[in-house]
Amino acid sequence: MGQLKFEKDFSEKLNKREIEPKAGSWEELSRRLNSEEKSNRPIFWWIGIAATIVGGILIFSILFNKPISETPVIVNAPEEIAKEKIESQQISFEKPASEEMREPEKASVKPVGNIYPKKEPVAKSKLASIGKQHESSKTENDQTQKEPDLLKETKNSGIPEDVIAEASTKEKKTGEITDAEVDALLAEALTKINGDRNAKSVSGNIDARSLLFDVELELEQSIREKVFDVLKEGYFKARTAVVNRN
Amino acid sequence: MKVIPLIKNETQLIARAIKNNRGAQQCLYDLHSGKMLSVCRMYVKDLHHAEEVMLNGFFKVFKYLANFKNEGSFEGWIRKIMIRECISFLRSEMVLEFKEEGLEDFNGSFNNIESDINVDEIQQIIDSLPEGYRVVFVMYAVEGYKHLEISKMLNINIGTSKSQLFKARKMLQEKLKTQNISGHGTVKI
Repeated sequence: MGQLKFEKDFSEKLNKREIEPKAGSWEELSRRLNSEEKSNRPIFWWIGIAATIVGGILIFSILFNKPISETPVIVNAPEEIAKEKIESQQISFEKPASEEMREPEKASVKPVGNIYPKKEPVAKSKLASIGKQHESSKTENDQTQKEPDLLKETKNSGIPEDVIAEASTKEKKTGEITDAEVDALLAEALTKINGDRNAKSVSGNIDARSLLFDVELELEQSIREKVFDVLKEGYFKARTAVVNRN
Repeated sequence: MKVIPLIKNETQLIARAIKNNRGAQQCLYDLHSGKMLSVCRMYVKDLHHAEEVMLNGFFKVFKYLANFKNEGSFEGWIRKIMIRECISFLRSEMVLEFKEEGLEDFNGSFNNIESDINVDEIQQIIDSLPEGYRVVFVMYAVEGYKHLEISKMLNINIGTSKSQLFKARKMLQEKLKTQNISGHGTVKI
């Protein structure tokens, strides 16, 4: 059923027709458009703020839940690192031991401090006790005041006292200590120190916990930084979007 | 008085209007408001209501202007919005009712009448039709929609659309004949 003749005529005439709207119709429409724009703006802002808050919460929850799940991995890492450090120290410490014969002043303190920075309080207390003993021994025997620098520094470095005492008695007896004897004594002291430290590191709760705490602290700090970076980035994006929209 | 657009390129005007440039929006309004009010008037009898519907239509045009993809003419896009707005207005006024018709032969022959009446008389004749007939007739005969499209837009059966058109045509023929007898316009059979 196609278009009839009168329909064609109707269509042509009606499609050509234009009816002028009343005066002020545009102003009315413009007012409505303005009010629509104004009403839309606060909604846009509220949606933006809500989205930012929700996004922030999500990011926080995701990032702060991660370390808890990864704790076992973090716990294992410091022990291995500590063992590796100890092993490497054993190797590196043996070499200076031979060099210590030539330059005993340099080799005595440094390695201990470098390897175990966490044990400083323990070393300090030891030093204090050794210092006290040393002071008491000053009064008893003047000869101990003449101890060579090497022995003083080895005391400070945590070499067992029995080794030092042995060395001092030998010195007393013979009057002189040969290089070979010093070497042997140092090697003995070293093995004792290492034995003690290995035992501590195997059973040592203090090292593992402190290391773990340090690692966790570092991780937490890095996560916070990441979160702040993400939030900052999101804020700048939202701001540029708003500016572009306007 | 119409504002003569400084920028005649409609695409540029649309691009500016999307960014809520009131000047560009006014230019577009001035360009199309006359025709769109005519479209609305075909569906809505009262001119005041037709104008209200047209303003609602233009409000939606500018609100959703970013959705216009430059596929087809801008006038066609606005026209569609206006027709939908008219239909929803008639629905809200509870005047748009369609009776489900039984299966009849709607392909009956019509006398191919030629009319020579002016546009105001045409509008009067169309206004005299019942709402349902008028809407389907205008959509089919003037706007060029198919029955399937009409049935989808009005949410009716294709058969109902056909029956409405059939009855509208019948009534219009009768009216044209009567007008011829009474001496208004020229109707040739």
